[in-house]
Parts: sequence; C-alpha cells; structure tokens
Amino acid sequence: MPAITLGLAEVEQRLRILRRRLNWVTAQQSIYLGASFVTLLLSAVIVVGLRASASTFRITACAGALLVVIVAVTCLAYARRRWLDLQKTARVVDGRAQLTDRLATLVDLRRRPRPSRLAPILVAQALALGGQWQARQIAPRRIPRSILIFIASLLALAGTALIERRSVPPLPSTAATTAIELSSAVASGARRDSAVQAPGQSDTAGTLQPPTTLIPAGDFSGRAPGAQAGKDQPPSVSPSSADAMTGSSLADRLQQTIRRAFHGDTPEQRKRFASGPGNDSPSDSTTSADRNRPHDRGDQPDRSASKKADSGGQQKDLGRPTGGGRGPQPQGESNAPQNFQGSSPRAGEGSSPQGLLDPNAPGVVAGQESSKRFKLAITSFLHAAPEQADRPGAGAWAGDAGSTGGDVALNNRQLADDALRKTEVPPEYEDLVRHVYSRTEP
Amino acid sequence: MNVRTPQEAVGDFQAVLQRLRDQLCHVIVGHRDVLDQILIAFFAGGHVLIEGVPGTGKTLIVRTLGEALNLSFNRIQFTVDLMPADITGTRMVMEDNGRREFVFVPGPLFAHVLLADEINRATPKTQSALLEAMAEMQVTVAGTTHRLQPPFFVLATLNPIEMEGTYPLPEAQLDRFFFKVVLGYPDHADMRQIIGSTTGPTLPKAEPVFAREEAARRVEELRALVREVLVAPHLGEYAAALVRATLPADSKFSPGRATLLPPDEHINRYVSLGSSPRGGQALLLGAKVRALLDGRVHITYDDIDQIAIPALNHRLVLNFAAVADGIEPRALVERVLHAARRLRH
Repeated sequence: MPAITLGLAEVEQRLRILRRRLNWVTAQQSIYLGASFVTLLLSAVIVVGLRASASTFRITACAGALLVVIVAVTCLAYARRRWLDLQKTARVVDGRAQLTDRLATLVDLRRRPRPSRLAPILVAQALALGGQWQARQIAPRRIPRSILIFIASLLALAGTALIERRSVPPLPSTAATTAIELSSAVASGARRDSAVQAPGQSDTAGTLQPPTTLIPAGDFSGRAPGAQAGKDQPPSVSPSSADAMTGSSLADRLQQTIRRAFHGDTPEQRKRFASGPGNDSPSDSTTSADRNRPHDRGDQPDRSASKKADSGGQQKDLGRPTGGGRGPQPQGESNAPQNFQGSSPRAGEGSSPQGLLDPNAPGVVAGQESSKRFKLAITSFLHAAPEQADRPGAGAWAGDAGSTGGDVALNNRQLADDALRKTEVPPEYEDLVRHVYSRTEP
Repeated sequence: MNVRTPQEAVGDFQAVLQRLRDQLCHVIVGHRDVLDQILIAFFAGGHVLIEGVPGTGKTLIVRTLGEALNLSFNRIQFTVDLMPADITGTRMVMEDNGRREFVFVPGPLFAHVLLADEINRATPKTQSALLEAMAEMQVTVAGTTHRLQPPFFVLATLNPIEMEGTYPLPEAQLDRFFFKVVLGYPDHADMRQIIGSTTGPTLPKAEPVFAREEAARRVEELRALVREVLVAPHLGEYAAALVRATLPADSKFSPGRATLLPPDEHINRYVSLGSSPRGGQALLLGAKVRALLDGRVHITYDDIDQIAIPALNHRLVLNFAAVADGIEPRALVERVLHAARRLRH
C-alpha cells in the first residue's frame, strides 16, 4: 500500500502542476478576451465620438459601459466554468493524452475507504504512460493565442487616431464662440424667450439686437445650443437648464475630451480661424473643419488673433463680440445699433453669414447627424413695442391687421410684425428672418 | 491456480475468458457478440434472456457454456402445465429406518447453470418461481429457505413467434435478467459452416476450462475480481444519467426529474416505464467485465456504451403508441446514448 500511496502522490503532484498551468492559461485567456472586447469597444466609442452626433455618442457610451459590465461578468463566468480542480484536471489530461480516464479514476482513489486491490495496476499504468502527459505536451502554451486578439484590438484602438473627425455644419453665430460665450448666449436667449412669447415687452423697434441664437427645437431646454448644433461644442451650462444636465453632460464632456485628445487644432487651422469666417469659402473643406473645431477655452490663441485683427483694422470682426470677452457685451456697446450682444454676429456689417447657412433652408442648420429643426429666437427687435403692448386693446383684434398706426390697437402678432417691418434688417438676413418669423408662434 | 498479485489476477481473468471464448466458438458458429454478452453477464453475476427464432442454437449455447465451465447444468422445458414445484423442488415423504418424514427434494433449479427453455410458455405463477432464485439465490419451499450454490446462472430463451398460448414475462421478471440478447439467423458463411460441422460423424464438443472440483470457486474468484475494477466518479454519473434518461418525464414513479440529460421526446411519448436501478448496476458491472476483457482495471465511456443496449432494452416498458408506431426499445436506448455523448466532455 505504501507503493500505491507514493505512486498516487506522484500522480497528484504532476496533476497539480498541470492544474496550475492550465488554470493560468485560462485566466490569461479570460483576461485577454475580455480586454480585447473592451478595447474594441473603446475604439468604437472613440470613432463614434469623432464621427457621430452627441446623442449617438451618449447612447453609444452608455451602451458601452453596460457592455463592459456584461463582458466582465461573462469573463468571470467563463473563467469560473473552465477553472479546474484536481478531478477536472485529471479528466482534461485523460482526454488530451488519451489515457482513457486512468487519471480521473486514480484521483478518486483517495476518497475511497478501501482502495481496490487493482489500484496498484492503475497507478503503475499511469506512471508508465507519464511521457504522454507531461506538462509541455498537455499545456504547451504558457501564453494563449488569445493574446493575438488582444494585440489586434490594441492596434485597432491605435488606428482610431487616423480617423478624421466628421465635418459638420457650422454655427451661424460664427465659429469663434467659446464655451462661456455660448453659455452667456444661452442665458440671454433664455431670458429673451419670454420676450418672444410677450412681444409687447420688447425693446425699441428698429434695432436688431443680436441675441440670435440657434437652439435645437427638439432639445431646447436641456442642453447648450452650441453643444448640439456644432457637435463639438463644449457642454455649457445654461442657468435655466443646469439641473437637467447631469448624465448627458458627462457623455458630452467625454466626447469633447475624445475630440480634443485625437484632433487638436493645427496652427494653420488656428490662423484661419483667427482670420474669421468671412475669409472662409463654404466650399472649402478645411474651412468646414475649422468651423467644427472645439469652441472651448483651448481657443485662446484664436481670440488673441481676433483681437489683433481688430486692432490692426485690416479686417472687420465678423463673428466675434467687439468686447472681445467671453461674457455678454458691455452695456455701452450693446445699445449701439447693429452691435453685438453675446456671441452673435454683427448684423449688417462684415461678410454675409449666408455662406455659413444652408441656403435652401433658412433658419435651419442641419448637420448630417444633428437635429433637423432649430428654433431661431430673434427677440431684440420685438423689444421695441413695450409701450404698444401696454396700450389698451393690445393683444386683441382691432380693425385693420395691416395698419401700423399708433391709433389702432394691435394684437401681439401684429405688434411683432410691425416691429419687424420697422427693423432695419440687412438684406442677407431678410429672407432668414422672414422665414423664421413666419414660423414663430405668437 | 493460486493468483498472488493483482496483475496476475487480471491476466488470469483474460486467459480464462479467452479459453471460454475459444471453446464456445469451437461449438457455436458465429454469434460472437452474443457469446461475449453471455460471458459478460455470467462473470458479472447476472442472468441472460435470449430471444431468438427456433433453430438458431440458443439451447446449444447454454449447454456448451455449462460444459466449458464444467459446472452443473440443468434444463427446464417450460410448458403450460409446468408447476412451480417442478422447478424449485418439493417436500416428499421419505422413510428412513421406519420413520417417515418430509424431506425436501431439490428441483432442477438447484444447479450452477440453468437453461429455462421457452420460458414464456409457462404460466406466470411458474415463471415467478424463478424470481426469488434469480434475485436472491435462494428458494423458499414450505416455509424453509434453501440456498442455491454459487455460481447460479439462468439462461432463459424466448421464442418471438408462435405467441399463442404464451405468457409474456412480467416486468419484475424481466428486470431480473442482466441482459437480453437477440439471436438472429447466421449469415451465409456461418450457415455453411454450421451445416458442415454438425452433419459429420463427430459433433464438436467443448472442453472444460476448469476442473470440476474447482470450477465454482474459480468462477467466484473471477466474479469477485470484476467487482474490484475501478470506476471514476464521472463514469458513475454517466451510467446514472443513462438510466435516468430512460424514464418518461410524466411518470408518476419518477418524481423530481433532475437529470444531466434533457428529456427525450421519444422517451416521453413511447415509454411508460423506464429502467430500474438494476439497469444501472448492469451497466457498471458489465462495463467492468469488458474492461477486464480488455486488460484494463478501470472502465471507460465506451465500456458503458457497449453494454447499454443489452442492459437496458428489456427494461423499457413501451406503451401502445410505441407498438402502433413500430418503435423498438433498442432504438430508444440508442437515442439516449446519442444524447448522452454530450456528457463525455
């Protein structure tokens, strides 16, 4: 019996070595496969972040996070299912070395109260066949082949650096809008929304005040307009919607980070951007790329360049606030006619923004992936009729709808129409304003 | 012959079985598989039910086996009027020195090898007289239990035709048979050899493998060796799964159908009663004999698979739908075996 015990101990010792080796390979395989999947997933998220819209990216990022959890659980289950104890190891070795269940039978001998008298034969057979189940034959690879999949996935991840960011339609308020500017614009736009609903409270008619912000109609309250329309805009927190931006802002920031990390602005782009959109040709692809550049704090050189251009007087500032700052226009300048407020373009001066807009759909800035409908809030010229709105009879039909005389009480729609008519709208804006205004609900 | 080491015991087992094969094949032409199954059942300690058409050598096989083993051999021709006492023996009044007393006179059951020829022609009462003997190797007559001398081996034959006046074996009787083997007609070459060898001046005769006085002991030694063969735990599970897989899912006798194999549609449709645990015992014991025949001291999946059909097919009680559709138990066992292949890895 001692001979059996010694033989069994030797068999078990060899099996333990094989078990460690096989389990190590299993663990590696699980890790490599899981990491490969996660890496591929990350590559996909990056590609989506570079090429797709913010909403698509948000969905992809959330789905990716869920998939990562699923993959982790699956990998654990995979490793657990393939994890070998001594009995399973014996069966695996039996199968690979064609030992016809000899080792599995031997391993079970320890648990028997009275070992069979035939057991020594089996032990001797197993040891005699030891050449068939050496470690290098049973588990020849210390590193599984799945590492190749992992390497391939890493290459795929590296390949995402070669992917160009997708061209998207520019913001009509010029590309020089920074995150803070956009925030200010949204804030001022939100304040003036009430003016749209109550045109009688608008300021002086005939002045086209600049808070002309394009806000996605389908996503009007939750996000900054720049982040939606320009895709690569940083998430800006609007005072009216700050509480709504929790999960989506995280995805937006992630997308923004991806775009910044993978596509920093080139010096040429910055120079072109600093020269303003008036020099950009709509058909120029590089111009399109410039427009899609992230409008964040990283654009400081652009703003300095813009200031330089202003001070030199060589070029009109077409798309930037004359104040040069990020906040709203200083009060003194904002009251000037045809001036800027916030980040809106100066109406009536400089180059026409028509090139930046879709000529076939005024007021609609539609990117390939972005929302197709936008709400254009042009409120400044409505400020001109507060006194008219306060007059008795305002807001109700009173005689000729086409009359603009002060003696006739006008309803809100007529007041707004009247204010529009009195406003000096530059020709290049006229179609756009009329179109948008005709859609504006009273 | 004294066997000292396990290796020698295994070698002796192989040698004995090989000699038995040779002697049987000297007399019996063809039917190698049937002969192997009969030998497996014999050394596993079971009994065999042979089903075959008349004239295929059923009785010859049993008689030759008894001669080769050099064990006591009896034959009972089962008929309708056969009574249980005709098999088991009875008490008779005997006079000894003027004193009369009842003395038990053993019947033909008291032999090492018993041939129950055409067992389905006897009444169930007579058939059941074999039950106790086959299962417990004892006979109770008039309140007195008489032990049978080991080894005790019953070989019963069934005639699948001429079913008039026959009594199908009850399930309890069938379950006590280790194997049920089917003996068919020999092929052309075997037929020619049978005709030639049995029509000459001398008939082939088997030579005994054991000496008369030691035959029973040797057989018992070899049977004990069979039970020493090692079984890996997963093979025990495999055999249990096979047996469980023969149970229909809706059977009231098999509650809690937790099995390693998914329920088979055919089993559920055609089987009214599946295999008993005796089927599992037959699987493992038969596999052990096969392993020893192969020179191994441990069983494998193949050993169990080779045993499954003769060990399980007669234990499946089929319903009317199976009879109507012409379903054979063998086909159902093969389906179970096919489904069980997924358990191998």
